[in-house]
Amino acid sequence: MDKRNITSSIFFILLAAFVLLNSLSMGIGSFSNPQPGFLLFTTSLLLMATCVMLFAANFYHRNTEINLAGLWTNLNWHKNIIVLFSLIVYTTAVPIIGYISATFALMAVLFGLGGMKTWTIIVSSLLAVFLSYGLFQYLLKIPLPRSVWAF
Amino acid sequence: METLNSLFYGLSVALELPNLALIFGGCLMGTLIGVLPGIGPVGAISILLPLTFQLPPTGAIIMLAGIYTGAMYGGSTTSILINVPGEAASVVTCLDGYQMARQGQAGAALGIAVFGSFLAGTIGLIGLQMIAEPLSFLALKFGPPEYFAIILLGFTFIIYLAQQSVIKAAIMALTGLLLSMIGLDPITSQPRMTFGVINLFEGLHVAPLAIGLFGLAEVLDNLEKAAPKKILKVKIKSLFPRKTHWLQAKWAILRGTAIGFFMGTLPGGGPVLSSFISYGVEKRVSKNPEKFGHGAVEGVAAPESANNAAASTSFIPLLTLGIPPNVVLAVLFGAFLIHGITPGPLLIKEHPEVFWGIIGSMYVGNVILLILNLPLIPLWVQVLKIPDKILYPLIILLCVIGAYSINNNVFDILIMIIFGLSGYLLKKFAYEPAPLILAFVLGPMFEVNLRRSLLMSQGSFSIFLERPVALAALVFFFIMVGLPIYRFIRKK
Amino acid sequence: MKTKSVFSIFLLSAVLLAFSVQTAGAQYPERPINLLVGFAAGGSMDLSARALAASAEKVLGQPIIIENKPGGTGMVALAAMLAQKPDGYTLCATPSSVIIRVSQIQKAPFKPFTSFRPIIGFTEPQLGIVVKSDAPWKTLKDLVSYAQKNPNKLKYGTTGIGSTTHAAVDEIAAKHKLRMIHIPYKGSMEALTALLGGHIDFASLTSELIPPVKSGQSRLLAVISENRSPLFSDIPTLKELGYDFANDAVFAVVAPANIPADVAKKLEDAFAVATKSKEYLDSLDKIGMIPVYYDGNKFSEFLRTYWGKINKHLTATGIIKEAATAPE
Repeated sequence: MDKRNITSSIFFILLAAFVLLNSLSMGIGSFSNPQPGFLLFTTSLLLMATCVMLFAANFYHRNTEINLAGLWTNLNWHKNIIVLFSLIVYTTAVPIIGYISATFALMAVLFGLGGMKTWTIIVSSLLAVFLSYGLFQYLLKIPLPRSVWAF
Repeated sequence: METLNSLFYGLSVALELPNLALIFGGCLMGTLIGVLPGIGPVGAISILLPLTFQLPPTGAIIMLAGIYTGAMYGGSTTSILINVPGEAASVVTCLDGYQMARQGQAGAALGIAVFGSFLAGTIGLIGLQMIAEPLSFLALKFGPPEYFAIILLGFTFIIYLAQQSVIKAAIMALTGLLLSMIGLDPITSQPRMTFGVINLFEGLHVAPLAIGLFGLAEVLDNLEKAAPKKILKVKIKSLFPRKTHWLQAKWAILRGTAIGFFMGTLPGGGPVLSSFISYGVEKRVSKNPEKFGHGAVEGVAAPESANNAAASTSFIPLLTLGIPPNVVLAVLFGAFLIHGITPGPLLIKEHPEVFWGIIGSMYVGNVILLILNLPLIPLWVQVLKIPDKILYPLIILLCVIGAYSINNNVFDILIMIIFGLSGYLLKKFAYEPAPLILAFVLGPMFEVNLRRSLLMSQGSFSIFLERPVALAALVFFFIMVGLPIYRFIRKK
Repeated sequence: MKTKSVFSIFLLSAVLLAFSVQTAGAQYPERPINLLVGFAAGGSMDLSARALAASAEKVLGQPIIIENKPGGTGMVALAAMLAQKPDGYTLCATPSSVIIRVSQIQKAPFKPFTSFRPIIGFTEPQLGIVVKSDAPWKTLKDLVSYAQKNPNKLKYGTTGIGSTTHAAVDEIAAKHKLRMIHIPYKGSMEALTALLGGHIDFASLTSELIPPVKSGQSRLLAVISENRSPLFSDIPTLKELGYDFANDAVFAVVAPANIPADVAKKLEDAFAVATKSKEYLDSLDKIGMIPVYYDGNKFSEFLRTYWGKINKHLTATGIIKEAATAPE
């Protein structure tokens, strides 16, 4: 049994059920006057049906055995946690402290994951920040986030 | 003969020194912007529009057209090198282009993409020049029922993108369809699944989705692999495509061009739709479809040719009818107006220098782009030699700014991160993100045309059977869906 | 001793503060002003805001930097402005519809009547009702009498259910009790394409109608505005034809409600002067926008008047039961 398919089909069924409930409250309408929930409703029904097929198909192929835990063994998944966490901190910080300081901190963490020397980390982060700032802010005229102190 | 004379006239306009400089500048800027993920031709043209205010109208418009074609060329670069699609039209190029790069054939993939784009762009232009008028009226004949039927047919092609399980591809496509319906309802503007978040009113943008699902997910997937290796541990085999590549790709380029040629004129569809329909067609006609998704040259050649041919022919409705068929040309339409020129049936009479100047400049632009892009290929391939510990942070930074630059909104970075995580998990659970993105792109058009058709016919489905184009597309749809099911049942 | 020094520091800083506040007021603007635009670059809101800014920065003597913040059908930019310090250095250019129409459909992060200090209402799109040039109807009356004789035969396109263009047709339909089929489109361009392709019989559109009317692909039957259009002076307005309806979407520049009064006044005067410049009027003409003028007070009044009218139409069409945002 492929545990990946079991878990994911359950997840998508729940997702579809959630959308289905929401679409009901939006109103489905009729064929002559379809309402906002019309296609959401039909699509989520179809999604549920497809997931049930995936779920059921598992019981035909009994010989393959894949467990969820196996997907993460022997991997440095903690690195991904650090990356995702620092990215989320970045999105909350960047409107407050501005592009330059926030991006410098982010790049320092990311370069740091590669296990470089401290001064290389600082220099390469600074380079990345200022090159990207010049390219986007000045050459492409994209207003990058400013800090509350307007720089 | 007259056409030829006009063409020479157009070329003479394009080859005037100041204009040539503008085309070159536009192509260069377009390539740069095309290479950067996120900000696509739409953003580029709108941002650079104010810079053209001082220029004479012809000069300004050919520069903007250069930006557009340049961006279409550049879009595939990051798809192939680092699996980050530069824009929606090059999502399909990721599938085989990135695999080719992993096998050390990045140069070949980039070369085929550039040459395919050049050929397709040029053929598209010849078409634009020869049969602009009849094609534009064909485009007008497409009403909601025709669109609905064609897009429904398009959904079956999504299944061809599936490399593993068709059921899982269908789940991805349906999820993409659901995601496309987040935001204000396109017909009644009631909020749907927005949970009161104002940033969701306009729905999700495709770029943060694609950048997250492909780019960030790929980095996360590589980052956790035990020993920090390179993305490409394989030796770089070739800088340019070899003869075998050409033989494999030539028909794909031509078929892709033909598909893009016609799709480009259709309002709405254009480059994105044509890129993956041509991919589906290639996989269908190929003698060994199992190669697709594992670095098939045709899988790069066909979509890249298709989206460039479509980019050329999408000028047809704008120049002949004054109707921009997609967002990029809508921005270009605005640019025309600012410079005091109204695109439409009178353009060719009132401003022949602009009409033929654009066509001439696009021929010239295609040549410039070919010359500009070829020497860049060995340079791009060097990118892959950067050690991972430096390359990965830079890719992440590129993903972050790319997502931000579409709307200058930090919220889009958050969306990109969420879909980066989703893409990583989907990979773990053996799902492929391409069907999701394509269904997401087609979703809004599918929905409004279905609903409009039903409004028009007052709820009767006969509207799809009364119109020949719609009927033909529906018959084709049922064949595409029916055949595999029929075979499956017979096998049992 | 200690209290004395604390006191003197306090006094000193108070004096400095008063001084700096005064100079700030007297010298405003002393650095560039950011003008947020809630829609993507290249659209009519963006282009008209750029035209106005180019003219106003000459009057104000400081650059005005356009910052596009699309999202939330224009609400993201308004919310972003309110999040900044109300010092007159961050303003927002927005269509009135975002403040009084969109906010009725979806809860907005502001109070339509009280969150803003309007600076100027400066332009409006050209709205009108068009048919294809080979259509048999020469006037709006022709069209109406055809619709009366042939119920449920005519199909018409608008820029969306509940939009101004839809409300205009609804007004006509209600008066004559017409029954027609409404096909809503996303924006004028799509509706225009459908009209030219013969998929709908007539369309109620915004400025995109100008090029095809000028080139003779379509015919304008009536304009939807207070006064006749300078572009088509022989075409009657809906009001002249006996329908109590005019355009409710005016493009404006607004500031946060609590900016200093003198700064607001200065901006108001400067923008008023800016709207008279020739380049500004030329640029509006090129993009098919009609110049109008509302000062801050008049625009506030405008918002209040049309809030009620829009509310009536939105509830009548069943889009909302009540306004999603409290107006004050």
